[in-house]
Amino acid sequence: MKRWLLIGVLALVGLAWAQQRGGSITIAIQTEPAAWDPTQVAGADISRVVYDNVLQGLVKRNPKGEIVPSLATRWVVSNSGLTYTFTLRQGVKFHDGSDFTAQDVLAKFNRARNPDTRASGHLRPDLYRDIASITSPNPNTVVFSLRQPNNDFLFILSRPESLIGPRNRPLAEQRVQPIGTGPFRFAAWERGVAVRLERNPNYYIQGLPYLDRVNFRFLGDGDAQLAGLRAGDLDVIAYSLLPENAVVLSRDSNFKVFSGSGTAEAVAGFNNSRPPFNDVRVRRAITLAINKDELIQGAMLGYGTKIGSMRSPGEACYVGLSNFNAYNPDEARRLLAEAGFTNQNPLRFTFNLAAEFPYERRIGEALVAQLNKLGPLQVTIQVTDFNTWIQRVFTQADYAMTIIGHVEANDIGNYANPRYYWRYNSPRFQQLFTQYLRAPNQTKACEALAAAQRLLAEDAAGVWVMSLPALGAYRARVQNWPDGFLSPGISVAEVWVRP
Amino acid sequence: MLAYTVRRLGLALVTLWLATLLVFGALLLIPGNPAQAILGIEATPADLEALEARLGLDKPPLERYISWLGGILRGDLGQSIRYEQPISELIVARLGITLPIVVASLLLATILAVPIGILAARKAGSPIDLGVSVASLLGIVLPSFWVGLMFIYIFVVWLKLPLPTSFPIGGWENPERALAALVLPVLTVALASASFLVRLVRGSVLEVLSQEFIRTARAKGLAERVVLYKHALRNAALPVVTVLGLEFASLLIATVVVETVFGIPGLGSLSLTAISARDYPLVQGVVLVIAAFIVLMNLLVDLLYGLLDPRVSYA
Repeated sequence: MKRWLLIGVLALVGLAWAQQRGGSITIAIQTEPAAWDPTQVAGADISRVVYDNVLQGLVKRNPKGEIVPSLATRWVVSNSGLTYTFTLRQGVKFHDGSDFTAQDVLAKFNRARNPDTRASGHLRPDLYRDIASITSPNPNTVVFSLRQPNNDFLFILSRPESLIGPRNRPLAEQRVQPIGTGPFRFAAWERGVAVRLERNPNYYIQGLPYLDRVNFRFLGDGDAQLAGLRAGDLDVIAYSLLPENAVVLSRDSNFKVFSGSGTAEAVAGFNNSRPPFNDVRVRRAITLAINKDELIQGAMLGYGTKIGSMRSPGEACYVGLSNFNAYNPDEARRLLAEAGFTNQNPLRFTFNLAAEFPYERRIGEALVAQLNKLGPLQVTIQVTDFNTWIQRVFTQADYAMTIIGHVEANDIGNYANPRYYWRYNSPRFQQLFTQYLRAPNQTKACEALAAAQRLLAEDAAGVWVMSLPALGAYRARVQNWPDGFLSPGISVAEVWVRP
Repeated sequence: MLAYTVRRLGLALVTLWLATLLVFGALLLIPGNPAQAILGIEATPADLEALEARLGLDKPPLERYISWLGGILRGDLGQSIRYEQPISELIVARLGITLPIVVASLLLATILAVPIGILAARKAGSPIDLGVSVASLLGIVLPSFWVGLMFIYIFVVWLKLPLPTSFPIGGWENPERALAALVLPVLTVALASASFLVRLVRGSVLEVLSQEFIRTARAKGLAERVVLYKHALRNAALPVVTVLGLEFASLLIATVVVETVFGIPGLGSLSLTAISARDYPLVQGVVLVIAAFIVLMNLLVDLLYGLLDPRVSYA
């Protein structure tokens, strides 16, 4: 027995030794953000790079989507759900050498909740509206008092908007060169090329990170990414690997392809406020006319997870509704006939696509082909650039149907906002969502959220085609790549490379 | 000649001004706005308003144009909305990559195309001519994004030549890597340009060879070599020089496809980014610089005419 224990310990030590320090990797991401401070500018690629690599918050979401300690080592929530007390990690320094203190936390969240965004330069003050006060009874402790219980409060603190920088850092500088407490410091941003991160030598976790340098390279073209990976100029394609390229790479032992379900739902959205989609029969008919399995197999070569409401399987309180309103062309035709649309008098509408997103574009094109096969539907595709799409579809809601990936976690609440581009105005849904937010405990919260997911599906408020795959690949020398895709960031602190 | 040049430069300034006006108008017509491009779809209307105020987009378009024009007159291209950097810096950095590609590609294309085109013209109708025709047609119709990818697979993945497939991080700080990264893009661009030039040279030489002064030269008993190189080529060069000038200017932008394939941060990809981000001042800056190049190349070509052909004079 003892001997086995000894061997086990030795094996563990061996593993630890095997984790090489040093080296560098280059990771391809698809777009180049306009700035790097997620408190000032939104964008999934900002978070992918800086979240938990450069900037940290009180808590963070790990790759499994769990909310875990980061700059706070522990926290206590009062029974009323109104007081959150955080114990701060001690001896933490920002990359500029200054100490991380309770004052930085106070300054951060007072700025975040300032409703005057022009003055604060901070996005989404609405997220922090429930904060009544923030105090620091002693240098190790920060206390948030809420006006009303909010089940999403820890989640909000784990959002990229809640990351913390030094309190005196000018906003304009933080945008182009963010300073944080993470395992890497932001070394340089080469416009149009890459962002370079370098090891933070004073990181508070001993031995981390393993890598000396990490580059995030902006490469929008999927085939250029593949060529770069094969030629050795890239070590990782972090996401957005094209399915056909994934198939090719998975046959080659020099590469590892990874895929999984993240937090991005491909939502084929209706404009619920105007004809024809203010009629639930028409929305349901469209849903029934769509064969999701075929879309996953055909357009995405099997990568992607079927869903039936605005939530991905990895997220908390998920309800499996993927077979709700399942493919049924006869029933679709019947409902359309009931609404007055037949082969002779088909329903004609335009389907808007943004050109920049390879997954959504191919799914959208295949989906429209399915609709046109039904008979009583005549759908035309209109492809525009993303900026035009944002203006017409997202801001002005001047559209009938569209598709886009919603990357954010826990974003079902968008359906509670009747001004959101889906223009879904359901008092019942809004009530359920409020019930979820204000529920006294997790069980009650999940019950409300489950009912909300079901209501959306019954109302056919959109077509949730699939949870888009987090699909990428890396060279075999890359070790310990994050196993899970439910964090906003691509955390590389524990990634190492074989020489 | 001097008076002509001055007059041409004056005209050039007016052309440039008209170009900026045209671009500004066009940008007002296309939907979308830069603040939305930056914030994406997760921001609220209040966030958008705050950013628009920070970027000065809440001012009326005419006021923005006039203040931009004022900046130009002071020699200041302004600040990019997307990158929050001086536009002149961005353009200079990108030209530092695109210009070498364009110059090297055109040089290579000319070196290849002129002798091959002459050969094809001299052997017009022969199997060699047919071969050149087919090859150059292929070079024109094959899309450069495909040719570029094939070059990567052939030279880098199969033959394992140590060529980067994208512009190195750090750029010109690492001159050998940076130069090596330009090899395949130059080959790709040169292949298309050379194919096009070959046909032009062949046609141009054939046309000159059928003219009467050539018949006269031959009738004088001049050696075919002298007829070709002394009499025919000089005349055949005029259209080729014109096209080279135009090709140079258009390649400054047209390399964008190759830039995308090879991950090169050149002027083409900068303009693409600027347009999709609705970065109005940056688009205008790029257009201004490219228009300036076009005007300059035209002027240069016209002046070259005078040198190549004594019949042309600008007195």
